[in-house]
Amino acid sequence: MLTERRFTTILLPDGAAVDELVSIDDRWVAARVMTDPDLYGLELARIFDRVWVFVGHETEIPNPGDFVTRYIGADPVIVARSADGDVHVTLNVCSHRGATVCRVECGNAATFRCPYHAWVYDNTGELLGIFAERDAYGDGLDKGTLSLKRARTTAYHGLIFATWNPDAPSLADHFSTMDFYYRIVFGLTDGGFEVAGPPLRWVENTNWKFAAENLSGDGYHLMNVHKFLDELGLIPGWSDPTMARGVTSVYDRRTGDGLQMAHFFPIDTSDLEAAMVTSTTLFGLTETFVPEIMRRLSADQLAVFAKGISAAGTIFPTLSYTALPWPTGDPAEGFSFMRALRLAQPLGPDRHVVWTWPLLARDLPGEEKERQRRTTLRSFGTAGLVEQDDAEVWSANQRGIAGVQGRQRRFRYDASRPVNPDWPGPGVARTAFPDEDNQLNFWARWLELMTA
Amino acid sequence: MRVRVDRARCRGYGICTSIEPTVFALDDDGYATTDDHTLSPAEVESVRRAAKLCPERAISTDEP
Repeated sequence: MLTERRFTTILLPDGAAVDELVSIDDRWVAARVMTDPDLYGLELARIFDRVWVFVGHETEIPNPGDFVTRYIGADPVIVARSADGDVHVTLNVCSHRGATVCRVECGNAATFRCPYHAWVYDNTGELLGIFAERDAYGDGLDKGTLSLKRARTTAYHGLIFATWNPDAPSLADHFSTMDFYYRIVFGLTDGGFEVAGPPLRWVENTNWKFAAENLSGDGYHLMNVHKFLDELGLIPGWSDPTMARGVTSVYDRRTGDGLQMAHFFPIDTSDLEAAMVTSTTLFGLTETFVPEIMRRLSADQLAVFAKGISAAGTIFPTLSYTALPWPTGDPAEGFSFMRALRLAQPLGPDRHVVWTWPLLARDLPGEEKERQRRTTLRSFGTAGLVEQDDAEVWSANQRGIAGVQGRQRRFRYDASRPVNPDWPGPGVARTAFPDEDNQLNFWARWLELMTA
Repeated sequence: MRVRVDRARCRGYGICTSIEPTVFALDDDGYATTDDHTLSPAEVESVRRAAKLCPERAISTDEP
């Protein structure tokens, strides 16, 4: 347990100790974690520089030479597929004087030329050539030592993660507990998922952690903040608290990841094959996917999946996802599915960039793909109604704690339930009315990285 | 296949000479030159790569 850990004491300029900003035992978090510029600087160094960070989806760069530019914390990176098909993540900072080498957000290129003195790199980060090298440097420079800095890069169920940390565990080890769930969400089909297009992007005037911790398991707000779903008759019963008593929250103490699964449309699993047809269709796929899902998932995973699930969670620190049966918004069409990635990229203590990628099963019929794309965009992304609800509330949080009194308050996470001993999956699972254990676990991981 | 270097475009990165030193060379000032010989099959591939990687598009060939 966290209370057994030994902390390094880091003091903020006013004398406050970072390890006293969160109390796991007393279940509170100091509000200044969402407002303090010094803490933001510490987060960039102690969290974003040390953990695996999501930088893109493999289907954004399908061909050799394809690239997108992204961020690890505040550091710009190039995510590129080289001629041999491998994905490389390199610091988008010239080894000469530090200019961003690539200044467009996506494209296809064999080389990147710095705008300052025209040093040229290939898409693996190798320094290929130096402008007027002999005139400038005589016998030349040792180009082999002047590559763009390279990050460790691994693709996982199509998701590309990178880290600067040579000591971080491999991504397979990192996700060894949560893979049980991530395989259900991202890896249950042979063809995988593809992005619907370039990501949607907008700036939200809230700290990145409001989004990340919420999506790690705040089932409590759903019935209130998003009650339009009930009021408009889109999901009858959505705002009724008694309907939320069977939600399962799971967290991984080691990684800080958390997700929630609900059986909003419970399926009788006494006949597994019949249940699989229903649950697969409910999960935004068609009956033709059933054989591959049954092959790819273990018996325990199938036990979770076949009951019919909705899932949403956060892969610490910033990547959240939704995989939910969802109303199209058109009564004639009824329900479809909302599957999206949502990245909360930090942009200071009180702003973050929201990146949204609708994800579609590659082998889905085109008509259903389009229905899911529209369903997802109506709820998440720049025009998403669910997204607007959340942004409105989190902005209210940010305004609420902007003052001297506000930032001295503590956020409370008192709701807790007993662990579910019968849950077939790994991690710490609870099945009840939504708890605040997942979010407290997010803060435990945050605190550990900030102080250890 | 034959190759040409547009000397007015070359800005002395030396990428072509590092890829294919039997076809490209740098003059005393560090800018690319090439003689006008018919390329061997082995050279054709590396010359195409050099042409693709030249930041100034200074390398051209008489066959696509």
